[in-house]
Amino acid sequence: MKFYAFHLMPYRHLDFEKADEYRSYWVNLPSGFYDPKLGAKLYHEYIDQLVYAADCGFDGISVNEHHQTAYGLMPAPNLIASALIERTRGRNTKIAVIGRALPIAGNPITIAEEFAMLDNLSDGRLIAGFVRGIGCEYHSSGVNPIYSHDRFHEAHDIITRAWAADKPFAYEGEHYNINYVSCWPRPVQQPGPPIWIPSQGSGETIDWAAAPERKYPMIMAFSPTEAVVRFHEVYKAKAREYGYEASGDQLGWSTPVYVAETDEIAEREAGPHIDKLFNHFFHIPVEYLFPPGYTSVRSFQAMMEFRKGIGTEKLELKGLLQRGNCIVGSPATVREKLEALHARTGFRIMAPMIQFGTLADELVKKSTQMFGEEVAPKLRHL
Amino acid sequence: MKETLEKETLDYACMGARIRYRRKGAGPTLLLLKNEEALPGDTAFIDELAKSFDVIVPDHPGFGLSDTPDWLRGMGDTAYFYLDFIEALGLERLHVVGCSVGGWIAAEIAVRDCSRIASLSLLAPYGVRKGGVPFGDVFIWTPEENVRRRVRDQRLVDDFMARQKSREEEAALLKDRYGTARLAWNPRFFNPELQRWLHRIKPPLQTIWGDQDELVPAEVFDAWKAGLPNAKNTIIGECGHLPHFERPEKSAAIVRQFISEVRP
Repeated sequence: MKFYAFHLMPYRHLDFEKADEYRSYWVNLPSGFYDPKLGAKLYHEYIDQLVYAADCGFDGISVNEHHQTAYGLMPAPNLIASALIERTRGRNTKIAVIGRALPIAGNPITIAEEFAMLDNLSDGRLIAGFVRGIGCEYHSSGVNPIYSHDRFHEAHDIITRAWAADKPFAYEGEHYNINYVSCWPRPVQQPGPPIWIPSQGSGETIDWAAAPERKYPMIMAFSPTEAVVRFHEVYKAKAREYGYEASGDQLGWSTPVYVAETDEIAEREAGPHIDKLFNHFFHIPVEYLFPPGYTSVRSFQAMMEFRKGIGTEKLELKGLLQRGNCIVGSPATVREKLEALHARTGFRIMAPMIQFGTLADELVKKSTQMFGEEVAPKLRHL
Repeated sequence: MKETLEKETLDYACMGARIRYRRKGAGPTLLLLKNEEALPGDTAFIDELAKSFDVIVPDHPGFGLSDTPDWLRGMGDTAYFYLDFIEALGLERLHVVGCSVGGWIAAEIAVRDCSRIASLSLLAPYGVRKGGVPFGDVFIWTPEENVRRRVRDQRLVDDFMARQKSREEEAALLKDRYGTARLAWNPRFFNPELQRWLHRIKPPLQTIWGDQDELVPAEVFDAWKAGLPNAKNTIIGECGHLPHFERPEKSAAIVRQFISEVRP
């Protein structure tokens, strides 16, 4: 199993009481809540935390993209990736941007170009994540969610072809039409950096990612254990349908993880911050999260059942732990939970969210160190 | 008379898609283009019109009981579909009535070809924007707000809101919502091209607005008037976004009156 420390970079100095008065922490929460003096310090703190994870032996460090929200301060994750690359120069640490939201980009070539630059800057350490963006981002970008999948597929084709090509080609799509696609610089990794697909389990995405010409790892994010198992199984079944066995390297899980000396200490220390993540930052009405067309009606109805609660009702730590929405505990407890899920699905990509909610620097570093020393080494053989 | 009033359900095939429509009543032909979210009991307007007209009521492509065809990519496809439909049914001297998104569709048809259209009555139509007068954000509203904020008289929707919906009903509501997004997400509920070419609509056109419309405020009429100086507007008092639902008899009477004034 491999470990990629993951960060959302939330604005943890938020006035939660006031922010709770708004319909959501996304899309239309006033940016007046953001204090640039405090925020600038946060960027440094968070970058340091990811570099610290690399110091603690994580295989990679990872960031993602979100817009118009206090939940994550990386509308341009490649800027952070660039800083991380410099801070880890000369090491083997993978830099994973999981991911860029393809459909909401005006011109996918810029994504191909930026990723290619990062792959050069990092001497081939980049992992490129492709996502469709969370539903909220269709409200904030104005892009029609009905065409989310179509735009995603077209943008993906443009980017992957641009990376592999050594001369210009014309792209004829419905959403993108570009006469001369030519990516300068070309990526170090050929035909292109590895591509990961973080997902909430949309059936359409799984079918596409598992296809034999892609075999892209699917990283389940923010889902209770049973949903992770179910969607890993759906992926594997789809692979079998395509005529091959999916390997554990195609299956990933990203979830908040907190390690402390004992279960009790861990729950006490992490509890309030897990609460902030699930009951505040993730306060997203269904209409924001699933705009029409973001998934098929069938997937929408299925997902609503599996995700019941998140962002729509108050979730207690106990219930979250029971359902496996996060992992909090002693090194032994955390190991057992990861082993248990591995035994069920065989997944081998683990992306622990090392900071969540309002969790302060000191605790992030303590937990990250314990994970690096007492959890990861004992699971690497899996 | 009673027999001709019986409901008929018919299918029309267009490039591989099945489009469902109803035809009811007798008299001059009237094409009724529905609003985007059906509420139970919103047939009173149809019944009222069917007393004087041969009313044709399609479910738009991508809505209701009609298919969602692959060829449907936006408002232009919907408009061209209706031009095919009107031709295929051999409709002439057609009176077009459209509610909300249906009103927008009516204008998109007429701006392309109004040779078979005798009059247009648009009830709280989308399609045209007035700067500084935002439409209500129906895509951010909850399902409950979406129903309640459409009507002034809340008693009309209390039963509907109180009732637990089946999975099939939920799916049907979602389909209409998806259909709406396909046509209206961006640009949001209007078409700048339509707005620039409104003067291409030659037949008499009237709009009807509730004075308390939270979705398309009645002031938007100014923007229609800018392109169509002869357009007429009637405001219905104490009424929300759906005059045909909230005030069916009054709305039908305004339509009837307008059509009677159109020279044959």
